[in-house]
Amino acid sequence: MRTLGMGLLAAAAVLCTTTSGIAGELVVYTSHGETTTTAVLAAFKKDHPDIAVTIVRGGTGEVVERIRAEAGNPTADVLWGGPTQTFEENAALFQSYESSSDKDMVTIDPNHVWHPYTVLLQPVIVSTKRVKAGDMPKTQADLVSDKWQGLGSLIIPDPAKSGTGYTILSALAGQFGWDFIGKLAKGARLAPGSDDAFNAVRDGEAAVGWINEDLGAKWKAEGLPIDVIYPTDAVTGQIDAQAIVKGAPHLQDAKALIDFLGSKVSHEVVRDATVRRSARVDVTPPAVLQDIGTLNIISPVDPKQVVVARFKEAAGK
Amino acid sequence: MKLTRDSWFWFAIVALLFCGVTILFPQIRLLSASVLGDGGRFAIVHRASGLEPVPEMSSRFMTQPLTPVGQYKISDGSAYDLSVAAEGPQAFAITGFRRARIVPAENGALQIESPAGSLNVSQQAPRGLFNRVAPAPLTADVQPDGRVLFNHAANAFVTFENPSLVATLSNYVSFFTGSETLRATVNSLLVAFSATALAACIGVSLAYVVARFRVVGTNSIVFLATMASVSPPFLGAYAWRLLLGRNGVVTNGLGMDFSIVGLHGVIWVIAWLVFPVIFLLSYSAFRGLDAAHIEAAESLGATPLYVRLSVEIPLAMPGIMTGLYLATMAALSDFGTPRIIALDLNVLPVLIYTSFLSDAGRNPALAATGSVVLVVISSLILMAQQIYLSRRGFAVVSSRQLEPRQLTGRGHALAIGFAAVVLFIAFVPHLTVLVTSFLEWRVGLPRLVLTLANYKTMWNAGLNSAWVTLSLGIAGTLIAFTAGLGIAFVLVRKRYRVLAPVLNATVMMPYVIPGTVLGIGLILVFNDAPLQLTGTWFILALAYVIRNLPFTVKASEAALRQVHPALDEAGLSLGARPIRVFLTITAPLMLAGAITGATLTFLHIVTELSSTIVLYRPPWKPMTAVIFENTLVDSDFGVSAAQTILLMAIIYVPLYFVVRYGQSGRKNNV
Repeated sequence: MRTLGMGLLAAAAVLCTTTSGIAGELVVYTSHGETTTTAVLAAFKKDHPDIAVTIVRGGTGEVVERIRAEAGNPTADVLWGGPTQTFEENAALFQSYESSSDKDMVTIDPNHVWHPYTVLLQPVIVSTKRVKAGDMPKTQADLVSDKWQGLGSLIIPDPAKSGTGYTILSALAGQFGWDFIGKLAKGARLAPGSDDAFNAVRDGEAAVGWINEDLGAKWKAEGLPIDVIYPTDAVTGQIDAQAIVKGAPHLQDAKALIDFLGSKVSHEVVRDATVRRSARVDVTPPAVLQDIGTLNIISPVDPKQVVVARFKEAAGK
Repeated sequence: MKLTRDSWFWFAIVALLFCGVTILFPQIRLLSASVLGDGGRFAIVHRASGLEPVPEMSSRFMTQPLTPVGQYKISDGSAYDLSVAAEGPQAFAITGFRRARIVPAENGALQIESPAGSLNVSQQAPRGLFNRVAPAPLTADVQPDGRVLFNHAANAFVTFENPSLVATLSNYVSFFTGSETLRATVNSLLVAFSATALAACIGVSLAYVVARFRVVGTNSIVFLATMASVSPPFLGAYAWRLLLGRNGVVTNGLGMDFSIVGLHGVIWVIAWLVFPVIFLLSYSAFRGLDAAHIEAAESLGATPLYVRLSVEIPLAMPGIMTGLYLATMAALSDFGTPRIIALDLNVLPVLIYTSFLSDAGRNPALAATGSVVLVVISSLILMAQQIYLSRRGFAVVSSRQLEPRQLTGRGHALAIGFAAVVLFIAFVPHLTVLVTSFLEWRVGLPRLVLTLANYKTMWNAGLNSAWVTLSLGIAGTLIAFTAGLGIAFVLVRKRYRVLAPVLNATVMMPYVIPGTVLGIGLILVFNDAPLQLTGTWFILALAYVIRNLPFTVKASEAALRQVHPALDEAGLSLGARPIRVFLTITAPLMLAGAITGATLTFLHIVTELSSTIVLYRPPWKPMTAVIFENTLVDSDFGVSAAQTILLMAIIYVPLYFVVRYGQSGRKNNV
């Protein structure tokens, strides 16, 4: 028993040393991929060598749910990534902070809760393994067709489980009406998350779907068997943002990060690392992306519950 | 001795309290969350075309159009009877609140207090992507005539919610009428039973061959199967998808039009995940057969096939059934495999997880309902197994161990070939991960370039998660085992009336609680003061201890039964206190059994995924959570592969030593 007691003490000691090693770091929850965070945080480190950052990665909804679950005793200081709608809906979880860069953006939150980062469109992705060159869709309307079913189907990220799925379907429904969504959903497959839907088309599990344009450009550059098409009738889009979590344990460091993320330097880093359009008015978009001026950009209209319920009905599920 | 002076009695009371708070109470919370609903809500959207009710955002409240077009009557059939009419483009008025009072709430929401109760009012307004002005705020004013006038943003959805809780079965009704939930339930059952059936074909036949015939390398085969039985649960899914997915290494290489993604993939992968437990239990069942029964059958002229079907298999059946039961439970509650390899196919553990903690679909009531359904299903399976065992229960007095039969040369080659094929497939995931950890990865796919970069990245990123896994594993094992030993002692030696059976039942409960459900239950109970444990490492340790208690208790019970009570009594008669007897006599005698049990507990803890993924909070992020998330988010799998190799080292090194220790210990006894 004495050895058991010693063992318990040893385990407790190990646990204590691990915590003390971690305390005092800025904790950032993010839905951005490794390419974004590594490049941007390296630049942040140059400006603020004294602030150590811990990254926790997950889907937007998942990290938001974690913040909600922790609201009484927050771990996170900053949520980095996620569409502005997510921040609006969950405004109670965040605190406002007027960063000097807020006014330099293409859009602004008058309450200064969220701070815009990138503008992200969702063009159409097609598996060239599955779809012949002559069959490529040119518009959102072209996605309504029986021909996809034989080729692996259209894949839709379930709006009940994916924020990107909600953005796409809510915006399309606002533009084309719910009848159109009903026709889209007929014979389509549902993915439990946007990453699953993207990867399914990349791997040829599905024929066609939508994709975040930065990832599409990257895959295309890598020579993967896909094609990225900006529909001429309408393209859905969202603006990515960041915010300070309410009750953040390291408020000063969190403000420093928010200021840095709004700076021109950081926006240029993220543009070059990930092929994303900056939300700053003075940062030119990546050359490989289609000019935004030629596109009809649409954004969500109906709230989530309505979209989820109507889509469920439309999909006959 | 008086009961109150018996320290074991107090230990039993404390143990029961602990189990009650941490095991029973969370399940009761889940059950209550599944039968409670809010008082309902209704929503109105105010567009240029006028007011419109939104049935998708309403429940319990009924809306009826009134004669002047655009006006509606809204009631919940009891407390509220309201009518609503537009007042200008961005305002409407509601009549029917008596003596209403407006209280501002957080984030621009409002509360309407009236004798009928209180309603929370909030608005959601669409916002153009590049807008620079905020939507107009929601305001409400009580007019002199008693109407309440609401001003809101353009095109806003305004929701009125009654926050009071009422008991309802509506969650269950919608669970069993919703086709998504129903399909997830059917899929779960389908996966559990077909994966077990496939695993049984593989596991039982291999066990029979290895146990009943003289096969070279039997010990290695058993050791490899033991290794396979403690693999990390998500390993198989990712590796098989990498090999046989639509864009997989093998499918691409051979130009096949095939993909493992889907129901068949889930069944295939889970079957290989659970076959080792069937194999191991069937193997020991076949080894335990008594020679006399078989010789008796043979002397009466039965053919070998007849002996096999009518004597050997029925006698080994209790062991096989226990293996099948454990396999079914593992398949039913597996979260990692279907999440990775199922794509658009839903099963209950994934449904529960996504409805509790995921994008957009947050629905705690659905998560609670699904949890209750899953626990009921697994309890039914346990009952079926118990009923079967009690009907078929018989004791075999083993007088003489059965000698394995000699095989012909060709038969021997066949047997070895069979074992080799089975073990090869079981270890395909491990080999895949080992190879890919040395390959270069780009955009989520491996390239044929050898590199150590993955290990370097892992090293540079820090081994924090490995420390978390190790320290939680060690702490969890020690606690689970100390508690298990004590509880087993109370159950076997003390046998208090009422207290012991209740303690036994409570401790065994986690046996039927899948990890996802256990995690959610703990969050529900320990998220608020005074027992706020979420966000600490303690709640992970707690979950691991609870999940492993049934196992450690049973293992200690088995070890205890081998220590004769006379030894304890000798110590007691010489005047030693009960605790001292336990520590100096009983515990050391149980040590061999305890070490094996503790090692297995450790292995369970470090490979635990389903409760970890629900409960972890940074910086306490164990390796399983890190690896699993990296495989899902399209990031660098090379690093995950390197981490998986490290995790396998943490698992297999102690396992190897314990098996070595066990073998040498057995020799010493002989």
